[in-house]
Amino acid sequence: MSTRQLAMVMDLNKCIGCQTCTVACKTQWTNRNGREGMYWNNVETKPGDGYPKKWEEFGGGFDAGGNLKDGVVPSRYSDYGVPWDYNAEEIMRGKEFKPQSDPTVGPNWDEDVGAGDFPNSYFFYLPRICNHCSNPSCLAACPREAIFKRSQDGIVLVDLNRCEGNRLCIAACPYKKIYFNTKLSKSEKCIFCFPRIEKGLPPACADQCVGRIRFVGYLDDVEGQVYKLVHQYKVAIPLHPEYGTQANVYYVPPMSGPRRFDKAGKPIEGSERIPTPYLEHLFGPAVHDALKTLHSELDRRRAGQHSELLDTLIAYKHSEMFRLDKPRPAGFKLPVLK
Amino acid sequence: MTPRALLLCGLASTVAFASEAFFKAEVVDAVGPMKLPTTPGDPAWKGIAGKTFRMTPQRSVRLNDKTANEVLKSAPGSSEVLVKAAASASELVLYLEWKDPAKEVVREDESNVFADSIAVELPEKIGRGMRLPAISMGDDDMHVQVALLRATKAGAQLSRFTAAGFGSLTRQAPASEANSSMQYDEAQKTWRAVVTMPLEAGTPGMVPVAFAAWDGARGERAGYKRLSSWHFVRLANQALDPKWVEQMAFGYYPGDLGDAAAGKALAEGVCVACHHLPGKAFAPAGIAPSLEAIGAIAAPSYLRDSITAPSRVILHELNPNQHYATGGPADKNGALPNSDAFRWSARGADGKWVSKMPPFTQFTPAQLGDLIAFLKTLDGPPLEKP
Repeated sequence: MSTRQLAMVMDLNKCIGCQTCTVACKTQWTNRNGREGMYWNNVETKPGDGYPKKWEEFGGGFDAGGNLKDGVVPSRYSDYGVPWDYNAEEIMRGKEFKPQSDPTVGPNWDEDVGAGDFPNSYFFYLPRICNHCSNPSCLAACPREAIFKRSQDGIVLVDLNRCEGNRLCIAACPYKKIYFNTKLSKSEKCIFCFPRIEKGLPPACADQCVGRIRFVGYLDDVEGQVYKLVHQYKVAIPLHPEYGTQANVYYVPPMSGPRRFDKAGKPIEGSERIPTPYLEHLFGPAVHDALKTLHSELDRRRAGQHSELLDTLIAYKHSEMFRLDKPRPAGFKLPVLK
Repeated sequence: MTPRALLLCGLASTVAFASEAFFKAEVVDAVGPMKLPTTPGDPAWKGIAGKTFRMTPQRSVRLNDKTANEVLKSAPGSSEVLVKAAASASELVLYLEWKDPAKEVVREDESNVFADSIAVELPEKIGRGMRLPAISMGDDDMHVQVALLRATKAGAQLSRFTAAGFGSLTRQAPASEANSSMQYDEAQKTWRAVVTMPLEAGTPGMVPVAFAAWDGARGERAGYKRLSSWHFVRLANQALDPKWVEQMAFGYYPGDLGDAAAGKALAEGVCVACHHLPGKAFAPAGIAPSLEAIGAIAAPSYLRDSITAPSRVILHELNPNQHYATGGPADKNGALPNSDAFRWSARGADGKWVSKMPPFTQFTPAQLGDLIAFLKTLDGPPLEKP
């Protein structure tokens, strides 16, 4: 569908759930004009309901035969959550600090809840943006043909001049990464910061990531980290590949972390805190080989040997994580607001 | 000259006589020239006779909203729209009245609710030798203009579009909101609207119009709607072109159509290979338009052309990306190619679009009449009880 494809790799072993990416995106794009309740980038705790609440149960995507599947448009009240403010001024006069409405759901609602019982509880963070899929189901669903995939980089965009707010794209996206702007009556989504891409800059979420978890580049750039992680080492894999959209955000799955404890409080040798079946549920069967490769490369490194894969994942130089058409301008600094 | 054509010669009144059944069923008389009423509440409408037309839930193509599809699965009935018309030399004003159990307007606080709406469709070109556009927003050759009124808190939002088939609807700017509005009557649970359409000079005495209504409470928007077939507004004091009337009124003359039972056997033997018929959904959904309720939306003349010369009416599928070939080959970015099986047309060697449906010229005129007679009986579910 496009001549080239930009992709992002997120290393979940390094995500600390700080939401800097979420804030970078929000201040850049979604803090105004009816987008206030949208999170083009969100970071959710897994296992968990995510955002919108229980998005994995809303349907959409393609079936095994390549046919578009039905889906549901989530509700602002019961699934996304209505943005709320706090009584910040009243607390100066001795009042209790509380929301000004009575919210029942919102982004990051179940932060750090996870699953499992103490001391064997577990969770990890899953940052999500639009997957800029190779077979986008949003694009397939639009009866207005208002959604297009840019030829030069595969970025999926909504043409707001053609969008009539029918929301069939929202029903169709299995990741629920298109949102309805109730003020404009149009659907809007992550634009992979294409105006920044065109200037040689990575998306704001990737640029601001303090954990250096996000690599950005073209899938066919064989020298790039994205190519190496996705195609060469195959440690970066898409979320819910069974949705059938050929997603282009790839995740390095979380390695199991600490071992489980037995009743006496002793670590169980060879046990896994994060159950691998859960990771397979999220990332498909490819997660097994990905984890195997990660563990074996880790063992190499522990044995004092060189590992190109681990060096790549460590990301010694932030500036080297992004390989775009245009090089980042020399001496580029983010403008300082006065 | 055939006896029928002979009858059609001469004055408009002679034409009306010869095609009485057509005028009775399909044509609403516009009053005027007069000072045009501008609102649905204008008392002038009380004195104007109208006609009631059937609107049927859209089932030709399937869309992907689970909630709205569940409503469709519950087999909602058809509904009716009362149409009155008034015209000046340059404008046609349509009064529309239809039942809707609850008022739903455009809302700024919720993401999954939809507004009640009504639309009027007119062909861009009319007259002798020209066929009717495909009812579903026109086709490659025959474009349509559409005026859409969507209920808002303050009243209604008017949008004007042109279209040449699915996906082609294009906004026309600037949208003049003058003299088009809608009002909800809580007591009667009824919407009343007026829509003003420009009339071009030289209009041949009669204008095809079609209607669609959306009930927001059922999640209706886009292709989830109830729609009518083409009907006609007769403009007063304008000469009718008898040739054109004869062309439009095909199917209403005695002998035009045949035996629906014979047509049913024919359709169930041939058409079901690609199309769905009531209770006969064998072909994969989407490889061709469903004919479940085709009689409610397609004129006999349109059905005849679609059977004998499908490439005269190039109607593209809703969106070619809805089905892909899982067998590939995928491109270097992993994108799988669209499945050609679900396309309704393909480009010929000369670059022109050719319908996937072969021309069925082997039918005798009697068989063709039988087939159209049967398809016309597929007029959707019965009227919904209020």
